[in-house]
Amino acid sequence: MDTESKVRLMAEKIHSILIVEDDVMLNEAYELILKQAGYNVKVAFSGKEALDLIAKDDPHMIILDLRMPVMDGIEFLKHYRPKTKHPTVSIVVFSNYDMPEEIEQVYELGAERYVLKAWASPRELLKIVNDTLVGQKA
Amino acid sequence: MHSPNKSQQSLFANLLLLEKEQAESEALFLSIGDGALVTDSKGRVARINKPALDILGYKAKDLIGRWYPATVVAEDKAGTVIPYLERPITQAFLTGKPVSARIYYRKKDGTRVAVSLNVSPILLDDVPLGAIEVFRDISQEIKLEKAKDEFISLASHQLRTPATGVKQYLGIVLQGFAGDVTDTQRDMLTKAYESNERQLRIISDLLKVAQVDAGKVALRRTKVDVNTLIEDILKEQQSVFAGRHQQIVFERSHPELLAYIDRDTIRMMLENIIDNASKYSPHHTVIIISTDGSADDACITVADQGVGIRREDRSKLFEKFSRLENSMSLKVGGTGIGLYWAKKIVDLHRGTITLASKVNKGTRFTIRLPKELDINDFRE
Repeated sequence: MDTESKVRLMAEKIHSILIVEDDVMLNEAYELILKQAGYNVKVAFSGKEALDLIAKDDPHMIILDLRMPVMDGIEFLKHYRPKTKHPTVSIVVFSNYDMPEEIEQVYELGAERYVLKAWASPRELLKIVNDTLVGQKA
Repeated sequence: MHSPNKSQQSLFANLLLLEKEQAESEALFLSIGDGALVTDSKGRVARINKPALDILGYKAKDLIGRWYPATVVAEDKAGTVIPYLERPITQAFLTGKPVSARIYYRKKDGTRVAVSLNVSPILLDDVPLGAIEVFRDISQEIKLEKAKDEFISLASHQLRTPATGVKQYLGIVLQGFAGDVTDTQRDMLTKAYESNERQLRIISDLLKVAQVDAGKVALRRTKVDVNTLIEDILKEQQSVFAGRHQQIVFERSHPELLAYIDRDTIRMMLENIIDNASKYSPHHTVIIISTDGSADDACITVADQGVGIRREDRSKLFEKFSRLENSMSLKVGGTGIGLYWAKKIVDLHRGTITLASKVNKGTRFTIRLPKELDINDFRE
């Protein structure tokens, strides 16, 4: 992200969030919740779409599903190289499969947190996003 | 030739009886559909039937007269050879009691077959004359169980997605993301939301059980202070107990009670037992949780003054999907999986879970967990 955009974003205090989720209903729900809360939201329905979308500009945070067609979440994590290092892009995995081996793998690949989708209500989703962004080191 | 006297007649009659019994026992042995073999007092194979030979892939001459434990090798699930002393047949000889087990036998061709076996010592005046073992091939059963666990896992994960969608949209309306709602609307939507949460809990329970049945729960054991763990649980549940006006008493015999356990699963197990104690007790009752430790074990008891469990229901208590009928069961929601899973987790820790209960007086669960690891824990 270039300096001008960084300054503009900081001034406006609007964080950008990318939602990567193949289930249309869930994707739209998350988009609605986050837009209502004032975030700048981009959506993708596969890992490949996500990579293309953020090729030029990193978001502040990515909400990443794991099981998706074309390119799944694990592959996305292996391929994604954020341009910004400070602050780092926070990646929170949102999945409905709680397999210990998978959880370990996503942490190793750079995810900050693993959340079971089924337990996160809209309010909880917002709290997770807020806690993550507040926790980012500049 | 003189005719036989009375004692000779009696002897003759007894011999005929013995021959008849021998013929009957031979016919019985041959007609057993499962694999069966008889050993002498030294564990050498004396008789073996066709199903046993078919399952093991041996011919009778390979086994008759040979020492059974050495000739037919037994393994556990992981493929580790079971030492002679631990073989079910040896245990039956040593204890003088029947033994049941599920193990793997190595066939003549080197492959292995999963069997379920029962072996009983043949005793005369408490002296073992031999043993009889009956076993059956359970490969098909194991395949079916695996397929069932995979199906439950797949179906549950598939069900989770739409249920998560419902949660989001009901949550969006209830939590104010789609404008105001009237009180009546809020009531209705809240009921729908809670019903959906229940659905999600059932799905989670099904997945937990499928995982533990499939043997996919790998324990991560660390040194944990059981007392601190229980304190945490009680702190978290405090509002629930307060809501039911239930008094919780925690008694510990030592300030610290350390044991090598998997923190997460034991925590869930204890939460379940404590939650049950509260759910199945009326308001204004007391629940006493106490811990104690011997050199080998950590012991946790949870005692309530609740509805109690009838004697005839106890055997069903730890079964899957079992929900007993009592005065509170209709009010108390539940999936009937908690105790089944709890017992499995305790078994995996090589512990025990027992209970004492009196209807309308209360129930006391006692959980014993070994404090230290042993060699078998490294085999898993």
